[in-house]
Amino acid sequence: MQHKPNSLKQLALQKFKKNFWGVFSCFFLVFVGVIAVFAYVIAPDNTKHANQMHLSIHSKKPGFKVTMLSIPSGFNEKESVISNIFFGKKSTNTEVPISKYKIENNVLQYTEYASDGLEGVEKIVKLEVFPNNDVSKFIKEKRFLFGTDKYGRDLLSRVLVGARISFFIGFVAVLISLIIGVFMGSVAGYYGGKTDAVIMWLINVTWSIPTLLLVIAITLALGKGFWQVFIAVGLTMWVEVARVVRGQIISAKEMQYVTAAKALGYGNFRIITKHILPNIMAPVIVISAANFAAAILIESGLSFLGIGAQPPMASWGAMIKDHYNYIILGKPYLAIIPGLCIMSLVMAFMLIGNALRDALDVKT
Amino acid sequence: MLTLLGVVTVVFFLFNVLPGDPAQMMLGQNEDTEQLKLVKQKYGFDKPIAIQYVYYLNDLSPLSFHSNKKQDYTTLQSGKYTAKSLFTIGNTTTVLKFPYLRESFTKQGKKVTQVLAETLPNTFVLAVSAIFIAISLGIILGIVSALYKDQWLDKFIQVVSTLGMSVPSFFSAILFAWLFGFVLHEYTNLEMTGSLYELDDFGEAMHIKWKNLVLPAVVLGIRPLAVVIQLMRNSLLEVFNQDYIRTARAKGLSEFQIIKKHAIKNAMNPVVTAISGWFASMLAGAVFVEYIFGWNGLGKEIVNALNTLDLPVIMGAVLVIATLFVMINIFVDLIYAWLDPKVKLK
Repeated sequence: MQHKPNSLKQLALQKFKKNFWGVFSCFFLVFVGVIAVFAYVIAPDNTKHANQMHLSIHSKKPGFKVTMLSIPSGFNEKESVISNIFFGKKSTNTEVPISKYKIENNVLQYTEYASDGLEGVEKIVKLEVFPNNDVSKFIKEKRFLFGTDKYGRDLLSRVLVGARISFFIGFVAVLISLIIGVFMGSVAGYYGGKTDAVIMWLINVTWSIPTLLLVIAITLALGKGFWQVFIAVGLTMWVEVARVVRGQIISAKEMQYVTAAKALGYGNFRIITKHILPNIMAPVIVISAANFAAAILIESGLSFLGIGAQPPMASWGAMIKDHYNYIILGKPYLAIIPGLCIMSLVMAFMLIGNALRDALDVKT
Repeated sequence: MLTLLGVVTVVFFLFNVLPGDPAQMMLGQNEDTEQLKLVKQKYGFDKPIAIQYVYYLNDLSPLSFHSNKKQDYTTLQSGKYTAKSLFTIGNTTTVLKFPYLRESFTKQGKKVTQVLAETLPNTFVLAVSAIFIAISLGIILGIVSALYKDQWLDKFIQVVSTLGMSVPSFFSAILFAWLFGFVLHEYTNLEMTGSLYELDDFGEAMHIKWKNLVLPAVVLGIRPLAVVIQLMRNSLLEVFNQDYIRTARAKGLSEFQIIKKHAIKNAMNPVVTAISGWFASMLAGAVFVEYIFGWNGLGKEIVNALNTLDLPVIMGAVLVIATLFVMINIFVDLIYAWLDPKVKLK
């Protein structure tokens, strides 16, 4: 049966489409999302964590070019194409930036790259190392679009791969906060009384400890690392969801449709999940968008303090931490590029949140 | 009160499930077992965790019970507690005391209360200045934005405030320090880092340097500023639709009079709530700002303690901030009642 777009969902969608910034942010997010998923395909440096270091060319300007000799590592571990695409290559060739080279008697003689007018060390490699004794394929001009970081890694690749953590933490934290928050909120709101008092107390306690400090405490308790941050952030953000859900349920409880459902003899679980929750999803969606943004901010902050993602994992916050000293050494872009990335991603989520709020007509 | 008890409990257990022996942490690597035992006894680490928890509560509570036996943990030592005895029953003395937050692991047994007392005022100055900037600027910009609704000025302010909300505070701190403290140093004469009190050039007297307050306060104020602008704009727009504003317009009052006398006070409610929430989280958000500007406050102390795993200091800091948060919330309820007499105090 065909019907005209007049359901509430479709109306909201129509309204959302009219909001330029909301739609723009949506496209931006999809764009970043694709980058995050296929980071290793797009990135020039497709090693795991984009961790190919060349110390001799550390912190070079964007657009820096160098002749790169890659020496095959010899052992060829079998790696599936899929894991290469999604997790990066594990074993790779050793890359050496060189300034000049020549081939003599089956031996490749090259001079290592050295900056500031210094003379690089001369070294030799036997041609046997290269398949078919053919060196030409292994010497290439390499260009670093964003320059290199302080370990000589390709900044562009690090930035691309870093998008993953930010996205991922958003998803996981929002998921955890939704699961706990919706459960707690609906139980507290629906049953009221002592249950409500206990849950409200829990909410107030969590609320009183500043998010950042609570996350720090939880990460300390669970140990440093990537997953701990996820859990910690999720465990602190449920509070807002729970508050909203509880408030909504308390007012929804008095509605006639709930009385009707009760009169029909439906169980409490069914009434909450099938009747009330779908009706109060709008503010929860809006809050989740804001939480997504908040989670990204917190993760970058923790990584900046060194208790988030651990090196060599690429995280935007950690990249700023590594490079903010370079800002007075005439290389501010090392810290500014990841900073702008965090900003634009967070902003996109905020704009979507705002657009959703207008479209769904939620009062905050 | 109950909330605070919960906070204490959460904090205590979070920090006590940490792997690693706190006594070992205090002594470093190579101390003999005898000393280890002594330290454990001194701090009560040899007791089961439930008893440690009771000790902790007893240490924190202003009204507490202390044993008269020398070897007990709770025995009254003048170095530990600043207390006033009330009465004694049997072996137990009940005292009124200043909460005891234990001693720092790394600062040669310096009391945590002392560490906090040294740093908290600096953070407080910073936070108050930041809030002041945020409120004053935020209300003005919010009014401007509401008056010019949907015109380019409003749109511009909106974009800037969204930007302000999305920028991580450590990033804006770095940017500001770099731009105004380094690139434009000649014009602004501001430093990249600096605290409120600095040693003078001869290293003798500490003197106050208000100049150093500018950048950190502005940076810390960015987020609350953005929030205040949005809230002020939205709530003003709502107020503008009310009948009493229409009446005021009909009476021929000037736009300025309408805003000043009729609209602002009514639009302030959501702003006050937001500010109260922000003030406490600002004490925590100051962590990054203080760390980058080298501001000698609570936030910088927390980062230091984090790096050295000085747990009592972190625990103390969390407790103090949470307590402030609870107190501020009570205070805000009072302001509410003043702003809106319809709200009855519970």
